[in-house]
Parts: sequence; C-alpha cells; structure tokens
Amino acid sequence: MARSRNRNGLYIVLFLLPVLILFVLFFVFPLFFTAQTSVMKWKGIGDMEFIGLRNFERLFTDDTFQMALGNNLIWALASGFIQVPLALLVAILLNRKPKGWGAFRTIFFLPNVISAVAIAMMWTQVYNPNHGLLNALLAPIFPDLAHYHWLGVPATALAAIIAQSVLYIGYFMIILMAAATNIPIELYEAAELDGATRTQQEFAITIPMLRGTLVTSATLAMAYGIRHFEATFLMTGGGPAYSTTTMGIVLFQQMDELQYGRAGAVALILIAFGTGMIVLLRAIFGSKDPMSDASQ
Amino acid sequence: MRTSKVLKFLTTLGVVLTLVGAQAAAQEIVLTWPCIWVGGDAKAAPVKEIVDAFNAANVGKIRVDIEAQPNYDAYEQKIRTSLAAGTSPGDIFTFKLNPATSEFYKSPLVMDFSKDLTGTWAKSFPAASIKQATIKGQLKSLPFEVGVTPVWYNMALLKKAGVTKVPATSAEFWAAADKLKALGISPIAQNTGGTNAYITMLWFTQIAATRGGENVWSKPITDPVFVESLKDLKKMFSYANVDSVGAAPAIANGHFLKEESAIYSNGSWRLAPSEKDGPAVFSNLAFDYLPSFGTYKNSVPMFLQAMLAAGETKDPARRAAIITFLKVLTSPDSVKKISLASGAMFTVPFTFQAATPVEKGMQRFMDLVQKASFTVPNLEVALGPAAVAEFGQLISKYVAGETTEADMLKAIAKKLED
Amino acid sequence: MTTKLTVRDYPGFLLKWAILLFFLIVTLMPFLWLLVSSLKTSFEIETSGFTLPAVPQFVNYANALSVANLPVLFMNSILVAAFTVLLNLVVAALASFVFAREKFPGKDFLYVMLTAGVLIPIISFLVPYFILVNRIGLYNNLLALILVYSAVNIPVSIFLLTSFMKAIPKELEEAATIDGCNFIDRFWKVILPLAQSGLATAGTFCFIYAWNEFILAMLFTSSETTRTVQLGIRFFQSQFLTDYGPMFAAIMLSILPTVAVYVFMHNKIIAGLTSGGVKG
Repeated sequence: MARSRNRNGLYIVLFLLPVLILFVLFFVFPLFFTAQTSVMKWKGIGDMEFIGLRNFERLFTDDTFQMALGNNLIWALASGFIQVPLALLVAILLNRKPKGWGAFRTIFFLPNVISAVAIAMMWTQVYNPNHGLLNALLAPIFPDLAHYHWLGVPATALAAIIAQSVLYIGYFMIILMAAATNIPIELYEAAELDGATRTQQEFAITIPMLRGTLVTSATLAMAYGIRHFEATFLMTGGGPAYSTTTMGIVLFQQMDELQYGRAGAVALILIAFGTGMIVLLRAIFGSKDPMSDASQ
Repeated sequence: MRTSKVLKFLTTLGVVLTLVGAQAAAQEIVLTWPCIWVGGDAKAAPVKEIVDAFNAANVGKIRVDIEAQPNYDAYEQKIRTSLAAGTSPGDIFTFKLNPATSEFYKSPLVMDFSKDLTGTWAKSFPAASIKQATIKGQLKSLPFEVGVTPVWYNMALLKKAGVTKVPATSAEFWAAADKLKALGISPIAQNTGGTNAYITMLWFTQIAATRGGENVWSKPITDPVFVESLKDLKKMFSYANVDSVGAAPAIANGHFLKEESAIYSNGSWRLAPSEKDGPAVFSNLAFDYLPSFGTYKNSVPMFLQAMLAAGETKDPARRAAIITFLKVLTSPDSVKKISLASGAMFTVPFTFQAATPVEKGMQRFMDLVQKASFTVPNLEVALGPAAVAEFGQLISKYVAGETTEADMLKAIAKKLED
Repeated sequence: MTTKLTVRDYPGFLLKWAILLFFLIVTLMPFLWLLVSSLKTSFEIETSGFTLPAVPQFVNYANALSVANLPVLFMNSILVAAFTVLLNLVVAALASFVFAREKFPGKDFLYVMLTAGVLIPIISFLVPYFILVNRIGLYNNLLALILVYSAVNIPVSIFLLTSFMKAIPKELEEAATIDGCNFIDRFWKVILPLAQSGLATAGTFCFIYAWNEFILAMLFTSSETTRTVQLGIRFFQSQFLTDYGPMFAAIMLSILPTVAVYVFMHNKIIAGLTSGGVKG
C-alpha cells in the first residue's frame, strides 16, 4: 500500500489540482471575506469597523435568530428522515421496473425543473383559506377547517411548507435509483432461489447495498435543510410572526438592511452548524461505504 | 541646440495630446443605465421612447444604453452588491431612499448633484422633495417617482350597504364598515405578507398621521400615538378577510376588485391594472383622505419611490453627458409621458387634461396632494426595511391577540437601534 | 424471476400502485397547474388558483416570446449549462476518483471541507464573487457564469461521484492493474465508464442549476448578448406587478429543454449500462 501511495503521489496532486483552484477561488476566498466582515460593523459602504464578536452575540441572543436555528433543524430532520426515506421507498418500487417505470421516473423528477416561483404559488393557493384545494378536500370531513388558514397560523405554517417540500422526492430518488443500478443482479437471483419474497429481498439486499448512497443522500438533504430559503421566502416570507423563518431568510433580511457584517455572521453560523452536522453524521454512520467493504 | 530639441519635443507632445484630446472629445460617450423599467413594466415603453429620442438627438456624442434588470429584489441586490464591491453599478441607476439606503450617500462612487442642480432645473423640483433628498449637504440622488396612497372606496358597494357618501369621520368610517360587513363581505382590504406588509403598512401610516400629524415619524416608535394607532389597526382587522395574514398585496387587490372588500388603499399605479381586472369596480371608485382618528385632518401618505442616481466620474465630459440626460429625463415633458403611460406619479409637476378614466383618477390623486393639509412618508420609507419587516411579522401576532401594543412597538424600537 | 401475480402479493401490489399514484398526483400537479395557469390571465391566477381559464390566453405565449429576445437567451443558457456540466464533471470526477480510491494525508479533512461547500448560502458570497469576477475581467462574459456555476456545484458533484465510485467493486481495478493499467488508465478505462450513472446524476443536477440560476446571472451580466433564459422569465416581474400569465408561459417554454436533457441523459445512460438493473 505504501509503495503505491508513493508512486501515485504526483497523480493525486494533479487530479486534485483543478478542484483546489476552483475551491480556493470560489469558496476559500469568499469565506475569508465573509469571516472578515462578520467581526465588523459594515454597511457595505465605507470603512469597516472592528467590533469583535458583537454580531454573533447579538444573533445568539435574538429570539428571531433562535427561532430560525430551530426551524432549520426541523427542516434538516424532515429532509433527512422523511424526504429521503420516501425517496428510497419510491426508488425501490421503481427499481423493480414496474409497468411505465421510465415515465414515473421522469414525472417524479419534473418538479425539480419547474421554477420555484410557480411551485410556491401553487402551494400557497392549495393552502388558501378561501378557495384552497386542501380545505375543499377536508371540509366534508372536518367542517371546522373550511376556512382554516394553514399558512397564516404559526402553529401550522411551518408544517405546511415542510409537508409540500418533503413530497418532492425526485432529486433523491434519482440518486438512489442510479446507485441501485450498480447492485449485482446475482444477489437477487440467489435470494430468489432461496425463496425470499420481494420485501425480504429489499431489506436484505437493496437497502444494505444502498447504505452508502443513503447516508450521502440524507447528508445532502440535511445540508439543504440547513440552508433552506426559497420556498419559505416565496410562500410566507418567514412569517407569520417569524414562525417559519430560517437562517437563510435572516441572512437575506440583513442584506436588505445593508447589515453586511451581521449577514456575514449569519452565514458563518449557518456553515458551522451544518459542518458540525456533517461531521456528526459521518461519525454516526461512518464514512466507509459498506458496498466497497463487502466487495473487498 | 538643446533647447530647440526640448522645444521640438514639447511641441510634438502638445500636438499629440491635442490630437488625442480631440479624438476623445469626438468619441461617443456611452452611458449605461441598469434599469428596472423594462420588460412588462408599465414604464418600459415611455422610458425607451425617451432614451431613443435622446440618443437620436445626440448621435455621435452621447448614447444611453439601457441594461434590462427586471425583478426588483434582484435589481436592489445588484445595486448594493456593486457598491459594496467598490464598483459603480452604472452611469445612471435608481433606488428607494430609506434609512438603510441613505448609506449609499457615503459612497464615493455615487455622484453628488448639489452643484449641478441650479437654475430652472432646480426650480422644476418641489423644494420639499429636494430637502428630503439632501443628506448632510449632499444631493446624491434626485427625487423622481413618488407614491401617493389615499383611501379607495367602492361606492357601488357602499351604496348597496346604505352609505351614500365617503365617510368623513372615524365614527362614520366604522359605521360604514359595519354596514358593509352586514352584506357578508370583509370590507377592509389588508395584507401582512411580502417584505413590507404593504397595504396594512399603508393603513398604519394613515392612522398614525391623523393621530400624530406631519412629523409623526420623528416621535419615538413607542409613543402613545403609535399605541393608539395599533389599536385602530387591530379594529380594522376585525373587518378584514381571514387570509389577510401573510397575504401578498395581490390577494388584497383581488378581494377589492372582486367586491369581496370595499375599502382599500394603494398608489396610482394600481389604477390602470384595476380598470383592466375589475372594470365594474373601477367605474364606481372614490378616492379620499382617511377620516381623522385623532386630531389631524386631510393628510395623505406621499413618499419618494424611486430616486435617480449617477455613477461618479472624474471626466468632465462624461459628467456633463450624465447631467444632460438627467435633465431630459426629469423634464416635465418626459415625466408627463411616463406618468400618463404608467399611472406613476412624479415629483416634477406637469400640466395635463385628464381624458381617460385612469387619467381622471390620477388627477384626483394630484388634487388630494395639493389640497392636503400635509403629507407623510410611509412607515417603510420613514423608518427603513428593518422596522417594516418587524412590523409585518409582528402584526399578525398582535391582531391574533398574542402580543401587546407595547411589546410590539418595543420590538420595532429595538430594530431601529442600529 | 417470474412476475406472476400470486394471491400473497395482492395487498402489496395494491399498496405499491397506491404509493406510485399518490406521488404521481403530487408531482404532476405543479406541472399541470403551471400549464393551465399559463393560459389564464394574471388576475385569474391570483384570485382563483384551481379554475380553468374563462378564455384560454394563448396570447401569453406570444407575449413570452416577444418581450425578450428569447432565441438569444436560450442559446446563452444552453452554452452556459453545457460548459458548466462539462467543466464541473471533469473537475469533480478527477477529485472524486482520488477520494474514492487513494489514501493520502489530510484526505478526510479535505473531503469534509469540500463537501461542506453544499451548505454555503450563495447570497452571502455575492460581494466577494462580484469582486472576483471583476478582477479576473470576466464581467458581462458568459465564462464568468460557467466558472462560478461549475465551482458552486463542485461540492454536490464530489459528494455524489465519490459515493458512486466507492461503490464500484475494487476487483475490477485490481485485475486491470495486473494487466498493466496505470493510474490514469484505472481512472479512464475502468472507473469512469462504470461511474456513468453517477456522472449522469451529477450532470443533471448541475445542468438544472445552471439553467435555473438567476441572481448570479443578473449580477455578472448586463447586456442581452450575455443574458440567460431566466431573464426572459423575470421580464414580467416589475416593481409593483407580476404578470403571471406570460411569466408562466415563459417558464413552460424554458423547462422544455431541461426535461429533454433529463430524459435523454437518463434513458441513454441507464439503457447503456450492461451490469446493473433488476428485472421486475
């Protein structure tokens, strides 16, 4: 092993070089810039004034920001533990290539190419208290809900936005389906011969073989949950009474107010929070892929 | 020998410099204008017409290039990002002036017009608006578009409810609201969503103006005037549709034009769209001041909506070109053209004969401004984006009875601290 | 592997189709809603979300096509998206191969650093990005978009590709090494062909990002020759009024190429795979 590492050292550097160049330019430099502004009072114009950790202090003692942090955590958990498992369920069903599976795969992915503006507007109307689709469906069973304002009441607004979001499983479905194509077919054939049912096969073969990709998907989903912005911004703007606000919305608001220093602090907290989560997930689920282990 | 050589050199240098100078002078000056008034915007066509005519008249000398920047959020983002990155956003640009964007006045990249605005050009602007646009002796943006937002009444619905004239007192206002409510509608249009809770914020502005007068915004936000104004606003919400909380302005517009509400407030730019989407409602509209809820009468919100700004330049020719263009753009003729085509109102006055119903509506808006005992900027313009965002978030909690006036105002005051 | 429907499978069969049908409705809804809305007036869209248009407004499509120079915008978007995918996949595939197969000091740290980039809320980087683009002299140049989009998508692509490459059995490379394949051959001849489904997935995400991105495109470009199709969509969003009818028509037109690319990439690549696939 040591011999091969020495021999490949140059190649490793060469293969990593392009990524490193782009990464330094478009991630490291901006991150340093953001880190610098985060300890400044800076309104985007004129000199920066060093104020130490005051921006962070102010954020952590701010009710709104605490609410945003909490909401992002809920977003991360819902994305990782509801959206991804749903995607897995659908991927498994489609992996068996039922009738029309190709069409299903295309259609399930469609929402990802439609502008978020349109999707948000549709869901705002689904939840509308006067002529919304949801209340129309629920009214016959729950007459009290005929004019319920899902997005206008703090108790349900966050859940309503998250619910529509986790149903869009296409993104993770295609990751999982692509990974599933690499599962050796012989494993299923052997299981079939042993008399295992389909469901047993999924639990014994598909899910374990997809474990690495599942961890990847869940991590990605949770990262998206941490930086969530768009759907909420379009549907409620973080309201009512900040009940749906997220760190991304606080960040946008700070920039709107030309509080670049504090915006930088929000960005850093968001990144630190998310990185901590990624490291934690790696520690829990391991960075090793069971499939490569199994094949060694 | 030596002197003649030096002389020769200097002569040559002089000739070359003159030539280069002449060349530069002969070159066309291109002015860029990252512009929000493009695409589907009602001002797009008249602005383009003015720019085209200007370019034709100055061919070979000055050319104004419009850079399309639709989507206002993105436009604002581009302006502030450019300035923060130390780059001029363009030779001409616009922004909303509020306590946050007044920061732009500190930028050396933004041109100061205070020495250019003289003579007849200066006289074409109302003195009050120039005063509003001057910060610490600097005039780094010209007051251009204004918003005027009186109360809109659907008179057909009012009559149906048994109210024959526009309410003149607060008692009449509430009585009218009650009668309208009896028709089975939610009479007062509100919206607390978006980044500035627009229509609700306008109601609050008008109530506060009738309670606190012309300088109401110079009072601390925790002042009793605002406490009382919030109480009135809360009462208004008992006449508003259930979906007002978190709604975009479009929702309130829709209720008003579908006769689901009858009392509304917005600017003159809503006249033409209202005529198009709700012709029946539009033909029975009355516009007026909000009746006094306190001691002050006949006031209307009027605020600077778009300021014209320019990129600073060391080149006198370029500076002159920018001023030349701005003079054309702000001339009464240009302003009239843009105003009549879009329904927008401007600081620069112009005379016109109202012909169409929309123009008659605009005429009424202008009359209201002229006859007003005073005008006030709205909450957003007066106190800035941080305050209005907090207002929009907390108002839903307040009308639901989950927070008190004092707590809500204290929270806004905290946002105003920095 | 027979697919006879036995009595034992019947509830499972129903459940399976109920699940698929549910997701079919949920995912088709926005598409159909957008299609119907693109034929309504803006006022109809705003005030009654789930009705059919009183009179179908085909004029919305005419407006969408006429207001911006759509062919130029389309061409620019295609160029940007195609080169973004290319640059991003090349760069990310090289790095992912190393992450999936090699051991070197600091590997874990570097990997976490790179993938943590997924978390970056891009709007917080607007100012430094703008400074950078101006410094390299790429303002108002499509290359700026290609570079930034490729870079922004590196974390996701590396994350996905590393995961896919790790899943490729090592025996294949070991056999190839014995056959005299060097480092580059292992990457080019063994791993890359087997990572096709991963490349297609990462490439699709990258394409969609480049196609839909708006804020950076507005920031880095100023003339029509460098604008993307997203500008054409936003043409109907003015300060006080969004004209949803033609805007939705423009969105409908703009998503067709993305759908085409998606279908093409996946059918091509999944059909081309010889190894994988469970038959039903």
